[in-house]
Amino acid sequence: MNMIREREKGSKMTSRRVLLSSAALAVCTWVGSGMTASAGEFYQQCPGPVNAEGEVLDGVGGQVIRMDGTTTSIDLPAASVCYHIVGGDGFIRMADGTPLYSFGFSPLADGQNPGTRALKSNLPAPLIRAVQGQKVYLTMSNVPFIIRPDLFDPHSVHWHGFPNASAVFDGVPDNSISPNPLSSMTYFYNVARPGTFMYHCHVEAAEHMQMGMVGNLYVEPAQDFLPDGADLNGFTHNTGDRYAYNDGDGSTYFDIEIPLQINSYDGAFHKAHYNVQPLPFAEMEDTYPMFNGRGYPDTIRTDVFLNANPDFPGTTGTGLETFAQPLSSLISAAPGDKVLLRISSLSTVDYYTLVSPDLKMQVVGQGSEQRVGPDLGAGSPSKAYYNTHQLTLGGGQSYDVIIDIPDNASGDIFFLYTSNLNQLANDQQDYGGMMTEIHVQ
Amino acid sequence: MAKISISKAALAVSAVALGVTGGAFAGVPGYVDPTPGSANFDLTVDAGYISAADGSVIYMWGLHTPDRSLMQYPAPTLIVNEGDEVSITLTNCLDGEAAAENTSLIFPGFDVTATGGVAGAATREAAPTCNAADSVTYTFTADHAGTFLYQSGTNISVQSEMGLGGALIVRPTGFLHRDEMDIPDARPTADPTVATEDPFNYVPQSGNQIAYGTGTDFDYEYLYVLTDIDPDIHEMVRIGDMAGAKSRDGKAVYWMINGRAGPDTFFANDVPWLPTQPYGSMTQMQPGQKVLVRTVSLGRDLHPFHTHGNNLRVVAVDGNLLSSVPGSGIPDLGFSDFTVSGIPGQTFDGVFEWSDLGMGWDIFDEATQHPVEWHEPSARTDGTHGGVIPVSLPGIPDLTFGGFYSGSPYLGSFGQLPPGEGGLNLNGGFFYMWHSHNEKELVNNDIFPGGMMTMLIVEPFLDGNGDQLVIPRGSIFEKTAN
Repeated sequence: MNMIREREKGSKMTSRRVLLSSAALAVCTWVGSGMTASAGEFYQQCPGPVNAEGEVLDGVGGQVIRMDGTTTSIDLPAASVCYHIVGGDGFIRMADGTPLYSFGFSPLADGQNPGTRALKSNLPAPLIRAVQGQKVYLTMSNVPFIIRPDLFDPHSVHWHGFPNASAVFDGVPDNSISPNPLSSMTYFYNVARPGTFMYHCHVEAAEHMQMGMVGNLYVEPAQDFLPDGADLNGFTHNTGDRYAYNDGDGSTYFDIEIPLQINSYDGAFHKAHYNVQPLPFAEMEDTYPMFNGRGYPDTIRTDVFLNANPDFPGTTGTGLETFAQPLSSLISAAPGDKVLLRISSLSTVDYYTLVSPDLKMQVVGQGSEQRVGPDLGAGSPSKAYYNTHQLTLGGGQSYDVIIDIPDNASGDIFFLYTSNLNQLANDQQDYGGMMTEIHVQ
Repeated sequence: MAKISISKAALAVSAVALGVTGGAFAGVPGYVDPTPGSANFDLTVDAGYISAADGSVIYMWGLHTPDRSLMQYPAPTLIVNEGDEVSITLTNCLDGEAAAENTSLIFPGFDVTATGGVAGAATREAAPTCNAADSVTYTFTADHAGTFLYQSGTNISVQSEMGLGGALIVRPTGFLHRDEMDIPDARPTADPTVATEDPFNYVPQSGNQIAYGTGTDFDYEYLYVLTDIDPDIHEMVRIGDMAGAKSRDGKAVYWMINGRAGPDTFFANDVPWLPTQPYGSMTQMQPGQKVLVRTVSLGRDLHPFHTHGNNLRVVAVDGNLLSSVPGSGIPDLGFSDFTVSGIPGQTFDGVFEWSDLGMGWDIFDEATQHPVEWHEPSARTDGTHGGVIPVSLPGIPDLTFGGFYSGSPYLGSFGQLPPGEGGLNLNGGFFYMWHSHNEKELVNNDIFPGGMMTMLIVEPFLDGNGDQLVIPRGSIFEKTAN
């Protein structure tokens, strides 16, 4: 009764497949002996050509979309966008100076051999942005663990919250396929809805997510690309104006945005992993609460952290350094600005409550959906936004929050932190943890 | 009172024997009283044991009806009709247990009258004599529909942890089971890039399957009782150290849905090797249908419940419809989220829908799913008829395969798998994990995977033989003896 599908795969392929290396050859050199070369090969699938600077050139619109994990600018919605990330291991520096062994994803410039990203994982994973209506081709290449060559873990990408997901691209290993070390898989998403999502590896999720395979992901609404001067129910759209959702009235307009992901590490778990010890799942307890992969005060540093681990001499001073913690959580705004916080949590253990004690947070969306209420006679749902100073998030939850910077706040500094006050620490070091600042120019 | 020790051999039953077929899973198994206008249940408290999926055995206190000789975890699901006079008689057979003590039941959301037994802090209590003369009868009018919980009202922090809690479902007036589930008659014509509340045009079917009012109709319903267990507390109660049990902080290391830790959650209801854990939680639907998700949180911790596949639209909390117009039945104050917190002591109801709307490729196999109306070119309003998956998938040597993967990315299809892989997906359905997203809770003590995790199966319309695949109707019932 099993019917083998006969459909010719290549006949209507919309993407081209670019072989990037004979991965087995390239990476085995890195790992040394003991690795059995598989049939694996690294490749990227993307519908259009790419330029030489690590930027993906869309095949249809010809628009450039940066993918370096730090800054991204989108001028117009291209029909397709391609990303290439690498799953592997590395070291992440806690704010008390402790480097912790991690798993993670790192970005890859086009044409680059994924093997060059070995031991260079990031926290959080490269920021993925798309525009509603785009098709996303997300290639994930699995480079073997360097510190744990005894493990042969596959990885996957789970676009958390993707509406009407297909099983094969959902990334749950039990229900689909996961690329082994030295292999690549391209995930396809037809991005129908805007919102703040997140992504992570779903293979051995309790372990791989605690180890750091988590990242920010959000989708911009089509409303951003209305023609200049378009009327939005009394609100005039100007080219370049941006919104959180297709609100129809400009009520989710913002001037600047920042993804703010709750991450947290259990130092003991990571050290057990590094030391090839049994993993303490039941005893898992996070001791390093973070925003975007950093504890305070590192959260407000704007430089990119290099992956430089003194415990592993191969990464220091050998030309192997790479950025590992690219994302600052410093919110730098001007008086009168509307700041969109795309808050998500991929903590694996705890709920966290965030507070903004001075500035009100207007919640305009949650779980990738604009907050709407009853139709009060206008023919469309009313807005169900609300103001609050605190939000509580468990793992896998997200909120879209707009903060109005007061006109008279020039030079002020506002704090945003967890009111689980015991989490304002970097392990034993106090005055740290899950906190960041809003600096008003 | 018989104590049994669960045979671990039963757990050696290979997952291949899961039997992922329709009948055994669908619906909310529970107890109903067919008598019009009233619902009478006899519940007995007994001690017993449950099995966690890592092989450990946990001492429990649980309830059961006269139909069963063993206690069950969670407590029996009671299904009554709006307006029923409900009467529940509780008999306490904890006599002989080292920590035997009074017990009672509370029913948050209802005006309960208790008779018999002895006075307690919250309500009247039954002494541990196993004697009907000491029983307590709780009566109330089920005056509003919804999903509710009931649990111990005595020494609640310990007795709830020990297992004395379950779900109570009140069907709304006018509720009538359908013989046939809805299948949309046409694909949505709306722009797939625009979110729409209800993109499907349903063919009206017989019956009136609603949770509250007309805005909460569903094709299938499932119950998810979320609990967490600290086995040290259970051991202290077993040896009679009640002071120790009370003074512990409590640190759960088991997380369960319907009294089972994953992957036992995948098993059918009433499998013989889990005699005290009768309720599975594997969920089935077909594209375009609506699943009512009834969630009851009886644990001590919050659990972020994540539905893979699509957002869940929450329509009611604690048995209260989220509506701006009382009596309208329309949940216009509901909200959509991909992860909803299960809050201790709270219930919520959500409606889950899934389709291939806007996926950008045609998930229906030309060969096997041809007679399906949705598959027809005229119905593919998004222009994807026959559109193949837009990327080529890695070759077999490059991949690790999940047991629920059919070998094909297409719905209702199968593909090549290496020897020994797959085999758990009989119809070529799409499987989605529903689970706590505090991923620490996806373990059974130190063993991954497991914990608070189950699966949704989106089944094709036709099975591998080309026959119509029917998921059985929304609920199955066991009649009470009284």
